[in-house]
Amino acid sequence: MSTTTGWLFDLYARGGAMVLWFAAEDGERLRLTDPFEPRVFLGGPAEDVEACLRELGRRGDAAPEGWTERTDFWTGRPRPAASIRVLRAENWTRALSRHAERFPRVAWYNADLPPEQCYCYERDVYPLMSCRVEHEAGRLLSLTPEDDRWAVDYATPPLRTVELEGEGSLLGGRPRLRSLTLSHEGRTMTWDEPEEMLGGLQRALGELDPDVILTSGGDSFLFPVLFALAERTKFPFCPDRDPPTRPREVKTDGRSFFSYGRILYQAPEYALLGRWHLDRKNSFMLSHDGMEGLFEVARLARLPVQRIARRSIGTGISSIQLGMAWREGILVPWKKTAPEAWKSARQLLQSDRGGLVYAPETGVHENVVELDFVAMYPNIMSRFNVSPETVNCPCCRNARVPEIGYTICERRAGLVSRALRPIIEKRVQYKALRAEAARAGDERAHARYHARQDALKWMLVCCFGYLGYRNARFGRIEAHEAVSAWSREIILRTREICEARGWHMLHANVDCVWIVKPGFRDEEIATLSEEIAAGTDLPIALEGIYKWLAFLPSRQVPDRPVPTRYFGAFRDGTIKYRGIECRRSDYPAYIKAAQLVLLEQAAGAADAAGLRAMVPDLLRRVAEWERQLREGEAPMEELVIRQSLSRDPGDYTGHGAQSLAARQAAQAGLNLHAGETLSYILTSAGDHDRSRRVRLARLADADTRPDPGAYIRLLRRAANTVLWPAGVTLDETDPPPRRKTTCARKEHSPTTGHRAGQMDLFEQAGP
Amino acid sequence: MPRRASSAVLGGLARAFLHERELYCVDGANVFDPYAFGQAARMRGLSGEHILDRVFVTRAFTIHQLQAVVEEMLPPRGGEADGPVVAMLGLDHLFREETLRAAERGRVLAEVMKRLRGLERTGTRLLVTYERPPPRERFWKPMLEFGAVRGTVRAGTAKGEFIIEGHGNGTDSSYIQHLPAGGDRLLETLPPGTAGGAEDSLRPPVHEGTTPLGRGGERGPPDSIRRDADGDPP
Repeated sequence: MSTTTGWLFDLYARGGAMVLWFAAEDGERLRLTDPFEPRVFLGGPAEDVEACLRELGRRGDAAPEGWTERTDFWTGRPRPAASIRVLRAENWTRALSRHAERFPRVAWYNADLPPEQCYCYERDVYPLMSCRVEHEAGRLLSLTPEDDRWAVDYATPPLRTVELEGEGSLLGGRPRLRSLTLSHEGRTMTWDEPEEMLGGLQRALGELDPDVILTSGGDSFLFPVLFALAERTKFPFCPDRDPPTRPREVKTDGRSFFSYGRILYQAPEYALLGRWHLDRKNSFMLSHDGMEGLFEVARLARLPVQRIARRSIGTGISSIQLGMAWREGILVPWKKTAPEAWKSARQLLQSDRGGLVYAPETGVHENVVELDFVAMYPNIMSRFNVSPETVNCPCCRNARVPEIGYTICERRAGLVSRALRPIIEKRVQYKALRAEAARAGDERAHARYHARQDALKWMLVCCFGYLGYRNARFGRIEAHEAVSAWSREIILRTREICEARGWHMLHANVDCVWIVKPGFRDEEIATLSEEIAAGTDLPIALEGIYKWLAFLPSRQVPDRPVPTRYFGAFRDGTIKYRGIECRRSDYPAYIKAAQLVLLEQAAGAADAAGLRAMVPDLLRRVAEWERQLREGEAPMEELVIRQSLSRDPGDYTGHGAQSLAARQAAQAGLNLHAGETLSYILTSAGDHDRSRRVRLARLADADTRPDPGAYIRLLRRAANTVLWPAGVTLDETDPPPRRKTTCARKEHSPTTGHRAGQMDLFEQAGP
Repeated sequence: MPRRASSAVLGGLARAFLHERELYCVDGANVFDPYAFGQAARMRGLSGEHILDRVFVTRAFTIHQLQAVVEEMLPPRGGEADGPVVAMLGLDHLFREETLRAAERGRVLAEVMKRLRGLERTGTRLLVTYERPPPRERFWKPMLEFGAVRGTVRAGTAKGEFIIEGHGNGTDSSYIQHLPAGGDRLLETLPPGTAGGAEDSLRPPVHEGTTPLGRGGERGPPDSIRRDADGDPP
């Protein structure tokens, strides 16, 4: 028997056991197995359950363990359930569907959870857990944790990481790889000949034995091409540490899905065994918060790193809730069946609403205070016990939810509320540690704590949406409505408190307020925050005090305010901006950078008058950028427009720039899907020949020339946003002069904004 | 169900039910819009409250929730005699979710339709709306059969106009009406409260003055009201 200390690195099910990889402290990578059969529960009519148990046993899919008692999620009361052990976890999904179809009256619990998750819940372990293991002949004998997943200061294993890049194409459905580069600690290996690539890469992986292969597009392009190449050349390519039992299927198509009003694309997954493949382009967590954020979520959610890297952040919060339910013996239904109770159309009107927004007072305001509620929605759920099973529970009657009168259970603490509490607290701890690191000048610690708290922030952000998400295990529309109702009440109370203290509310947007008071003293803000916190039972914090802040009107209807379009400069000179061009993903980098430069310069102004005085300087800068655009000095790559496809490229029919570019992509045989990003350049926006108006970035060559007029219009549009508070507008419609650089200048009132007529032509040419 | 088409159905429903006692809507496509009812009331010079307190809704977001609604919450108020009308809005919508296995969707749809047939036999007045499903998928059969013999109202578009189409034989015959004119007649397409049994339901429907849809694209006259399968006045 041997003892090893290290970290749990990877785990997956194979043949009635869990394969566990440990990254030992001494650098060794240890593969151990632990026999494991996930436990599933059955409920429903006893005769159906008994018949199903017999069938499960007869087919060898599961071993019945007999009847037991578990807790019902909705009532909190014990209920009888038949327990089974799944014998072949790899084949369970198919078996489950078959048995569910044959026995439709049987209710299944904990039935569709991946075996790795079940293992982590049952054994109380988690990925990247520091532990001591005893083992013999490749079998795990015992595992002793040496760390707590709620700890804020934990060590992570030193990992051997390589970066893999490839150049090639998937054009016309025929994958080609022109070159392949592997980088490791400053060394690079490049292969240019197809016959060398697979062999060379395989040898390098064998020699370096990396823990992590990092790619950008490995799921959508690189690994599909490599596996297709291996299939074609019959080369036994295996990038895993542990060879898979079945040959990999080459998949190039992922899935497009709809989320929060947008079509998103998820590339197919190429996860490895015993080694991680992490694709920056196919991982929200990795691209936002790096390895530190990814590790934090994997530990808390008890999900293998490669899985959580490729899943939405909601999967993480859901897994935390599932783990809690599992360990408390709560039955987790396979199919979500709890329906919404009948409500009248009037009740629906009252309850089916979002957060409260007070439209902003458009214009430039000075000395504005912004107060933000700290994690408002998660705190409402946690403090007010909002959880699917606690809203309108059968045991209480109290009409506690404001406006809509829903009852909140007084006898039970909700599962969702309890799951959120430690996450909120942990994030507060990380923020304090981050501030401490900033004071001490420790940049590495600052970056680490920032990434971890940011990862938790995303978890908390999506927990509210998950409460109303139809596929969420612990989601229920009434709970979602209750949270919104509470948030509206809290903003109303906040306004009352502010006004009682002589403050005027300029704007409120769901969880934050912008207020002003002539000649206020800074100490008053702390007092006001305390009063609001006491009056609402929620923590509120000062976001900052603006020297000046501009609330912009709508572009389409200039006399209408827009809640999320503003920019301003805090007293320390930092700028905050929302809803303007430089926040948009579909604007070229060149234009966004130009607008940011204007904003940074404007931030130097002490007040609105100072801002107006800067206009000549700002216009000079704009004129210089216009000259660069006209004379072709702007770098082509900074002029690329990137837009997310809302449908498959072949389905576009219009003549807008995006439609034209999408059709070019379809004609060129690019394997793009709805939700993927399309990159193109405006080449001749007004050309009668529509095919010449845009050029797909991938098809751009030495003859591709950006259309200066189109980009100057975009530039002026972005500049006009910054110039608006100063009452200046550049003409966005007239074709810019070809030789001389001049800017048409029109005085206008900040409240009238741009003329709608000016936008029409631009809309046709712009993204 | 397309949102604009569903608005048309809701508008028609609202007008039709202004003077009804109660309407219970099972919303399977998240299309229920209380404003449609308020607006219909105001157009007739009534207050919104007149109707908003008499229309009830439950929304299903998964096929299993829909099944639970149909099995556990219908008929509302325990199936009392001469009970309220139940409108199933966008019955097909959730069953188009391709992340679920077709066999599972087909099984649940069959269960739902079985339950609806049972409800109808006991006197519950049902109105079901759905979009025409892809013809190659066989699991829609129970829904189409139900529509064929019960005179289900379907919302759709033709040449840019919103129509209410009542299926007579599950294919493309029967009648089409412009909704603004025909909305009040929606009730007329409902099976009467004392609908016939299985025997009656298998009898081919009788059509009067109808023009088949898809054969030249002509529409039947707006006043062509289909008589029910058993020949009773609608």
